[in-house]
Amino acid sequence: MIHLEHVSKYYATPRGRHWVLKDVTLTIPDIARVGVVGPNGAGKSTLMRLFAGVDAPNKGKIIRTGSISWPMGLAQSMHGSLTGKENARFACHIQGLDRNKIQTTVAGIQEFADIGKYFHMPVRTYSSGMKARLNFAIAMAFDFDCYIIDELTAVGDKQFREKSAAAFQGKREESSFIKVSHNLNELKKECNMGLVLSNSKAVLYPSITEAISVYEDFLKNRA
Amino acid sequence: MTSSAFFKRMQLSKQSKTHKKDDLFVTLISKFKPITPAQELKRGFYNFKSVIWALIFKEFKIRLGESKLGIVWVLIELIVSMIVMSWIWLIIGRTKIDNIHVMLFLGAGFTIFFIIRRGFSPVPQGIKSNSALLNYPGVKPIDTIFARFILEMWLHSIAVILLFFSLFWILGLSPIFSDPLLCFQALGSSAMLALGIGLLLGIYQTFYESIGKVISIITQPLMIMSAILYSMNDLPQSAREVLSWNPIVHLVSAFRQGLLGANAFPEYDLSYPTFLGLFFLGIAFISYHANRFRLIQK
Repeated sequence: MIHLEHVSKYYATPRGRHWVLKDVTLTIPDIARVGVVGPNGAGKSTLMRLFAGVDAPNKGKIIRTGSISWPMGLAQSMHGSLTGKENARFACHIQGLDRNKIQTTVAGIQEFADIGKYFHMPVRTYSSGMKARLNFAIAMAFDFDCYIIDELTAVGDKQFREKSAAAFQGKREESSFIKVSHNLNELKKECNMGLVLSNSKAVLYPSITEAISVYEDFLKNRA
Repeated sequence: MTSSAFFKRMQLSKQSKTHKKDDLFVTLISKFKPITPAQELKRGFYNFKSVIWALIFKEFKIRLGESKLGIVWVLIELIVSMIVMSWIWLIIGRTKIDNIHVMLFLGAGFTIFFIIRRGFSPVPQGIKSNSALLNYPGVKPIDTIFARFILEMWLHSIAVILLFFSLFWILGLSPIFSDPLLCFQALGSSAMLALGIGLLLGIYQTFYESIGKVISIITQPLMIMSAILYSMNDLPQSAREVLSWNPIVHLVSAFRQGLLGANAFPEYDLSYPTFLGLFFLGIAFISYHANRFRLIQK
């Protein structure tokens, strides 16, 4: 569960504060598959960072229960000079995994990422698709109660998208996810709740179709 | 739990929540138990430990990966500096400074100086070079500084052992350890000063890049001003009074006194660098606490 209470978040810019969230109160339940939609620059990634606890709000508080993954996104949470394998090991270490379990976990990540010999090459040589695969594979190796996915599947090929969907199918009973995507059809298929982020407001809807229609109305009004 | 049932319970919890604590709210709507402060502390410590280890391991891997020569250089830089600088003294015809063999004298000086220098050079850059890893919720900017500091100190210790071992093996020179406690005190104070400088610079260098450039210019004459290559006792009083503002001078003198039995200069006071180190460390922690989220955003 993630509970936001009167949360405000802004960035200081030369032209005054840019408000990403303004006095937002909402609760995401334990078993929720939330699709997050919003226009570019609305602060979806910032919201994901707040959910994951990487960033902190300027005002208000966030209560989290259960384990929450880091925001899986593009080119994040991986060190460019380390190889894929070393990045996987690093993640195992910071998750406090037992030393004798690391070997098998890394092997599992290698198999899931399926990026061939690039697994032994520095991450800076990867394409964005390969980065996404590795990032996703690393996060999937651990059992989080909630996974946070920030436009990760956007760059993946069809096989990867099917694979990631299947991976969640297996975990669906125990784990939830919060997913940012511009692919509305994909969200419609996978999610059961929707969150619309626009104009510094975040509103949670109990059904994804409702959220998407609100979002589409918003886009129409703006155009 | 279906979403509609969840919303019903949300409504319920909202009614009962107004005057109650977050814990009750959590237990009402989540299957996970709220964490007590003691649990949080324990988990935080465990997390801190594993993150630091992971970062040290990673830093070492990168050091090795960049070039095998890099690691070798870190280990022998101390010996090379000592030999080159002693050579100059030996050519002039001076074999002893303060009644101590030049090589031991300079070796002890470089031992302290290189600790401080690491606070300027590889330690503060830790935050920037690990920025991608700050995306993990467990990894805090300060951890990257700590990890780098620990690895640097570890490598330096090996280099120091190599230096004194080879001096003993090849030339038969050995320190007399006249005051072992003072040795450790000097080493500890130096490490503290280095960490204070490293953390402070690490924070502000991340915000203002030009600070790093200014610092690298300022630190150019640091070695000459730190009495590494000569003895403070050979200088006139007026020069000593100016140089004794430099905390490294006191640390070097303390280490030489404890390790080699060298005489300290009249203005010597080890408490000055120790308190300065504590002061820097305190300021650094305060500024880190004030800027910890800004650092992640950078």
